[in-house]
Parts: sequence; C-alpha cells; structure tokens
Amino acid sequence: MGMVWFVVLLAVLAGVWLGLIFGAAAGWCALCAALGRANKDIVAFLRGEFLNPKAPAAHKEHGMSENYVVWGALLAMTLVEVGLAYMRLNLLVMLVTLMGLSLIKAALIVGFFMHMKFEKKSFVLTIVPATVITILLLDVVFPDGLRAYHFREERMQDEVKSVTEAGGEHP
Amino acid sequence: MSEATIQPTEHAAAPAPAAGHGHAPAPTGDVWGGGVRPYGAHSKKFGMWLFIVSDSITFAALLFAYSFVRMANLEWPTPFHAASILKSTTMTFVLLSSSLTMVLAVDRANKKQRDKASFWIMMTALGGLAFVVLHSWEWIELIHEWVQPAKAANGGVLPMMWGTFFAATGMHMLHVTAGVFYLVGLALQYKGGKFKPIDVEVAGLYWHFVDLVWMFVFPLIYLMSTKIE
Amino acid sequence: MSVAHEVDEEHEVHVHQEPTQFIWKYVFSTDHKVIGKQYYMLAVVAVVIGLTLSLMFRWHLATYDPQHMFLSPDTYLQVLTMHGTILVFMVLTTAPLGGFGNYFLPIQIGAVDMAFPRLNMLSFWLTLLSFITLLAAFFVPGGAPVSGWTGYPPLSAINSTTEGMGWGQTLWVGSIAIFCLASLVGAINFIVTTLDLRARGMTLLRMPLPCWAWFVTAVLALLSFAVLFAGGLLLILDRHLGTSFYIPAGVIFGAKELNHKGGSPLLYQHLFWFFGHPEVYIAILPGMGIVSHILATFSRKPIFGYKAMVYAIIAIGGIGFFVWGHHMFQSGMSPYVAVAFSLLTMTIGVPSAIKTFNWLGTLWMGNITCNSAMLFALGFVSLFVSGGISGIFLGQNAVDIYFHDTYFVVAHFHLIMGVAAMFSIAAGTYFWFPKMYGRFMNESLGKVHFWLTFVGVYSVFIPMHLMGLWGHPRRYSGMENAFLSNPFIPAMHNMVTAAAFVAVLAQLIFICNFFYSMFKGPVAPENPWNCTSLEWITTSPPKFDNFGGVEPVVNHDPYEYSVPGASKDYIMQTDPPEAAPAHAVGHD
Repeated sequence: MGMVWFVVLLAVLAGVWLGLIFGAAAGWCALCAALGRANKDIVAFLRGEFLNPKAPAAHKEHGMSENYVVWGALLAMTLVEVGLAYMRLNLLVMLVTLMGLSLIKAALIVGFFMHMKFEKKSFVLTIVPATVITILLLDVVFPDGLRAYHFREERMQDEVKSVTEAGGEHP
Repeated sequence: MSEATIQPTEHAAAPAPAAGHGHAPAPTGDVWGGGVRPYGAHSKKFGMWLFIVSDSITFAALLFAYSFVRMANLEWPTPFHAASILKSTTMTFVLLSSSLTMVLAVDRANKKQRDKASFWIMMTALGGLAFVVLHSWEWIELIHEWVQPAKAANGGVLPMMWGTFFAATGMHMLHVTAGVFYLVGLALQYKGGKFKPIDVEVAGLYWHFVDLVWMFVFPLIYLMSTKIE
Repeated sequence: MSVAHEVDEEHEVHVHQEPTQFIWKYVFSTDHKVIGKQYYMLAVVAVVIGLTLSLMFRWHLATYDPQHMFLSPDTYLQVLTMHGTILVFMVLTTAPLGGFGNYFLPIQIGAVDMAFPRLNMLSFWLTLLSFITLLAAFFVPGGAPVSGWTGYPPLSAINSTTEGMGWGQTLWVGSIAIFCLASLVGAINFIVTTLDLRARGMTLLRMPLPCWAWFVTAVLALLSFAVLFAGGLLLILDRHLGTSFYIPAGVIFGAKELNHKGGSPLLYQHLFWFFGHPEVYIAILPGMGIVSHILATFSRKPIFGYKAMVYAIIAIGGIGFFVWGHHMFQSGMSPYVAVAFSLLTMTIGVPSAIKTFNWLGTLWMGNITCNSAMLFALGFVSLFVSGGISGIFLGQNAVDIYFHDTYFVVAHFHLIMGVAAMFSIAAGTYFWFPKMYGRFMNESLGKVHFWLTFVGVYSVFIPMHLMGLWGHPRRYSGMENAFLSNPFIPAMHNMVTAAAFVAVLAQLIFICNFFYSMFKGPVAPENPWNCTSLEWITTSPPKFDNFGGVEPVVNHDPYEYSVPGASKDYIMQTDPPEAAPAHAVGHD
C-alpha cells in the first residue's frame, strides 16, 4: 500500500513540476494571444500547418503611429511600477504585479519594436518557446533557495534560544 | 567555374534550371524544401535573434541568481532612496525613448533615406550615452554612500545585496556601452553609403533587446528595494 | 505568390574570391573547410596534452608510495583538473562539432559556406584564445587550479585557498568564459546555416543524420552556454571583487572564519550543471550522427527508422535540459526536486534505446564491411551501451548516494562521454579523411589502432566500475587509508594504468597514420565508399566553393542503399528521381 502512495506521490510531483513549466509557457502564449494573432498561430500549429504553412504570411502594413502608442504605454506602465514601489505592498504581491507589468512591457517591445508580431508564425515558434521554456527551467533553483532560508531561520532561532537560555540579551 | 561569385538573385529569386547532378525541379511552394530561407527573414536577422535568445538566458540566469540569494537570506537591505529611484526612472525613460528613435531609424532606413536613418541612429546612440552617464553617476554615488563603508566594516567583503546589484546592472551597462559603439559605427558608415537597411534593423533588434533587459532589471533590482521613509 | 518572390533582393550568398596568399588561405581563412581542419588540429593538440596528463596521474596511482610520490597531492589535483577541462572543452566539444561540423555540415546540405563565414573564423580564434588561456594556467605562480573540471565553490570562489587557486583558477574561469562566447557564435552559425542554406530539395527530413545531430547540438550550445557564462561571471566576481554569491557564512579557512556570508554553493552547481548536462550531449550527439551515417554506409542498408532517429536526437536534446539535477543528488539539493530529476533522467533512456536498437536494426542482415571506420562505429555502439547501462544506476537518487564521487561515476562518464565520443571522432576521421585530404588512411594500421584502443579502454574502465563499487573515491591522490585494506585495489590500479598506457600509446599509431597518409596515402576518388550524401558528389578534397559552381539539387532521402530495382546498390541524394523505382523506396 505504501508503495502505491509513493508512486502516486512521485507522479504528482513530476506532474506539478512539468505543469508549472508548461503552464507558465501557456500563460506566456496566452499573453501573446491577447496582443496579437498568436492564438491563430497556435491553432495552426496544432493542426500541423507549421511545417507547411498554407499561405505565406502577408506582411501587414503598419504605420509608425502604433509605435508611438506603444512607447506611451511603456512609459505609463513604468510610472505605474514606480508608484507601486512606494505603496508598501506585501513583497509577494508587489513582485507578482511588477513582473506582470514587466512581462507585458516585454511583450510590447518584442511584438512591436522588435517586429515579432509581423514575423512568420514559424519564426515566432522557433524563437519564443525555446527561450521561455529554458528560462522557466531555471525556476528549479528556487526550492533550494527556500531551503537555505529555512535552514538559516532555524539556525538563527537556535542561536536566539541559546543566548536567552544563557541569560543574555536578545540580539 | 571561372567566376567565383554566385549572383544572389540567381540563387534566391529565380531558380535556375538545375544543372549537373539531378535535373528535376525541386518541389516549389514548400518553404522548408530547401533553396529558400524558410522564415522569409534575412539570415543576419535570424542570427541576431539567436544571439538575443542566448543573451536573454544569460541575463535570466543572473536575475535568477539574484532572486535565489535574496530568497535564501533572512534580511535584505532596501536602500534605494528617492534620489536613486528618480535617477533610475529617468534612465528608464531615456532608454525607452532611445528605442523609439531606433524604430524611427529602421523606418527611415527602409524608406531608403540614408541621412535621416543615420540621424536617428545617432540619436539612439546619444540616448544610450545618456543612460551610461546617468548610470555611472549613480554607481559612483552608491559606491561612496554604501559600498565603501560596508566593505570597510566587513573586511573587504561586499554585502550580498550590492554584489547582485553590481553584477546585474554592470552586465547590462556593458551591453549598453557596446551598443553605443555599435550604433555610432553603424551610423557613420551608413551615412557614407555602406551597409543596407537590414543592418540597421539588426542593430535595432540588439538595441531593443538591451531595453527589454532593463525592463526586468529595473523593477527587480531597484523597485523591489526602495527605501520607504 | 511564389515563395521565391518573398525573398527580397538583399538575400545574397557571398562567395568570396579564393584567397591566394598563404596567410589568408590557411590561417585567417573564412572557408569553412579550413576552419574545420583548424578545429580538428586544435583538438589533436589538446588530446595529446590531455592524454599525457592522464598518463601522469595513472602512473602516480600505480606507483603510489607515500614516501616517494610521483606527483605531490596538489600537483595530482592540478593534473586531474586540467585533464578534465582540456578533454571536455577542447576535444569533445571542438572536434565533433567544430571540426567535422564545420567541414561537412555546409557540404552535406549543399551550401557554399556557412551563413556567416567571418563569424565562423571569429569562433575558431576565440576557441584558440580560450585554449591558450587555459594552458597558461600551468605557467602562472601557483600553477593550474585544483578544483576539478567542475570548479566547485567555495574552493574555486576563494582566491587564496591553496596552490593554483590564485591566478590559475582565474585563468581557468576566463578560458571557460571565452569558450562560451566562441560556442555561442558557432552555434548561431550552425543553426542559421542549417535552416537557411539548404540546397533545393534538401528538406529537413532529407538531411543526413550528422546534420540533424549538429543542428540539435548547436541548439543545445546556444541555450546552455549562456547559463555557464553567467555562472562563470559570478565566480569571477566572488574571486576578485569580494562578493559572496557562492560562499555561505561560516566557511573556515586557515583557522580563520571568512567574512563572506549569504551565498550558496548550490547556486553554482545549478548554473554549472544547467550547462553541464547539455554539454554531455553536445559531446555525444554529433558522434551519434556520424556513427549512424557510417553504419548505414557500410551495412549497405537504409538507416533503420530514419524519422525515429531524428526524433530521438531531438528528444535526447530536449530532455537533456530537464535532467541536470542528477549531478547534484548528494549536494543537499531539495529532495523533492531530486525525485523529479531522477524520473526525468530515466526517460532519457527511451530515446537512447531507440537509437541503439535502430543501429542494431540497421546492421541486421546488412552487407557489412568491417573497415576501420566501421569498426570504430561499432565500437561506439558498444561503448554507448556499456556506459549507458551504468547511467541507469546513477540516475536513481537512492543508488547514486552510494556511487557518488566514486570511480563508478568516473568509469561511467568516461565510457559514454569520453571514449565513445573519441570513437566517433576516430570513425569520422577514417571515414572522411579521403574527402578532407584526398587520400586514404592506412587500413591495417587503422585496425591495429582500433583493437588496441577498444581492448585498452575496456580494460581501463571495467575495473574502475568494480573499484567504484568497492567504494574507491574519485579525485584522491593517495590511498594510505582503509581502501588499501582491500588487497585488490593496488593490483587494480596497476592493471588500469597498464591498460591506459596501451590505449593512449595506440593513439600514436593513429596520429602517425594520420600525418603520413596526409602526404603519402593512396589517392582517393570522389566517392570511395559509395555513400549517398552530398559531400561525395564533389572532388576530394572539395574545391573552394564546394561544388565547383554547380548548385546541387536533392531528389532523394539520405540513406537509399540497396533499393530494389535500382541500377546500383546506392542512390545518390542528387541522382534524378527516376533512379529509384517509385514503389521501392523503402523507409518513408
């Protein structure tokens, strides 16, 4: 019986880990979809049209005006970020908000300034997923960071305890 | 072959009748079938994107290292006071605006306006230079204010927080500085008739990437460590 | 709208005039063939140095006597470190990828040169600079570093610990950083070349398997060296600018507690192995491609399951990114993460097994020619299996706790990464030498070389598995401890050393054969092996622009051997489509 639970645990752990990585990748794709046609591209990819695109991607004409809007949005979001930094938010909330805004800014820069929105979908699918997955893989360092934190916390509490027991002052 | 140059158009635009080995025309219409660039993008552009992929992973690794040690430490100083934040926000605006001028440069280059493109590249480089100057000023002040006293108190050991700060921003500043040289060199030669619009576009990709990295360095390093009086 | 119209006029293939001066033709050349040979020669120099170092420490271990040590413990570790670093970076990464890859990737896909010839040259010269920087570590005060090829902190992060940890270690890190840049430039070039410069008709699934292997390897290099670069940067900062990324509080050195606090060696291990594990595949994947090519050629059969081979290469490369933690089971890493890493490590066995069985399937009922190239390819398969099986043990975190840092690990990775990759290099050399130099290598000497090496390496590493099982730790220069109570250990050391001498000296036969044949070997025709891929349609050696101005057009899959109904037993990729009866093409 114990064996069964162990196997279940292993499967769940591996599933959670992979889910985290691919879930985050999916989140990124969703973000792209909100900003452009990536949604259609993904559907096309799933249909297997990646290697044989039906029609060559037509270069959509786009003027400079878009770029000014993007620039304004980037400046505005930067101001919001700076404002947030002074709002005494919980560290985690602030981290999530800032990173969320930064991801949107990054998507805008990549999509418009770097022209990714107007590239062929095969090009986007060559460049973006590999980068995102590789970067997200580095998340695996964090459990160890947390462990170090907890070890250090325990050690500090032990020290505090031993100092108090010896009748010393609280450091 | 007497002439050692294959005409580009012959290779890409007008498939010549197959010579020598094999005489059936290759399957046409299939962009992955060889003989054409599958992405319809210039190889230089593809190469620069690949460089950006790799470099963004380097920066990501640095920022993950920063997050790791920050997570692992019980106390983390949050020393950036208002003056610092003001400076770094200005730097961010300068960098973002230089990205816009770079977009203008690429646009003008594609319209075959060499002088205007060259002018906007120079403006971009100027923005980069302003960033480097502001950042160096910031560095010098921070070193006087925090780092030297901390190192003196610590036997020459830099406190963790400053290590991460200088590693991440230093690497970024190195990229900006390299970019300024790149852009100035490109602008001067582009005006003189050398290079093609694609070279401006490739330089633009690099510059936007440097901007992009700062969009993560700035909140993670500065804004997560503001000093709230 | 036809595809051709989309390509705007600026897409051009620069074919430079062939330079005539010696220095531009052979030294600062942008020709991928010359650069490939330069990489190969660099690897030859590096392998001679690296193997000499290994003989030094093997001699030390065989003649170990606490009173009269051949190498002092510090020197032993220095020699060990440099052996590992030189072989991993300067041989296993340069020869199969930089050497053969540069030479044959453009030719096999029908291109005139790499996509960025000047960057290609830069990549080689950076590699050379990195190699010189690494060798310079021997000659600075204190000598070479002692921290092993992995350079673990805190030892490597503090610049005054022991001999060699001053400038030696700094040069080591610098060398690795330069090597990262060189690999990055090279990887970009390989990827762009493979995707953009294929000849007409050369679809992705018509590329010979070495091309696939080089391509996937380049992707691995692109994504993994970046992380090592960041790791190395932080290591330099720790060593010279007083930061503490990798140094935790409470490190006591020389009876004095260091002021550093806040860092963690685990961080370095993560960053290093994030690169380090893909690096293993960077070393072995090109070998797999080369060996597949050779096995199909000399069995006169299509490679068994071409598509499965391609997908297996991609899968090995992809999963290779998810398993780096199996190097860290004993490091104090979070055990939950370790379990996930262990499971993922096991899954690598699946594509590896696909490859192995497909090699066997290719050989099955084939018309096999056992020349030197084929022998080395077969040796590669053998070593890959032997080394891979011990990998199954080491990939499980519970078992690894016993084997970690023993000779078992040493034997495992030497068989699968070191020697197997070396065998693929040798196989590739015997196979492609006629194309590279227009002459054959001596077959008899090749066979002697093979058997001495094959028997030699197994005699070195099988006993080392046993010693590891008995608990012999790696990287120990002396054994005046409990391990000597096992009477077999010194005898084993003697045997391993003797075998190592045989295996290394056998390489001298190879090197003599190589340089002798370069000038005096029998002249080779265009296609001596009746092989189907594009490098064999051109002259031996190929002209400056590879195909003499002819643009090859590809009509066939890469391994059409013994096609029923065809007029000869092989169909060149460039043969007209009618060469194969339509119903008879076997493996699609």
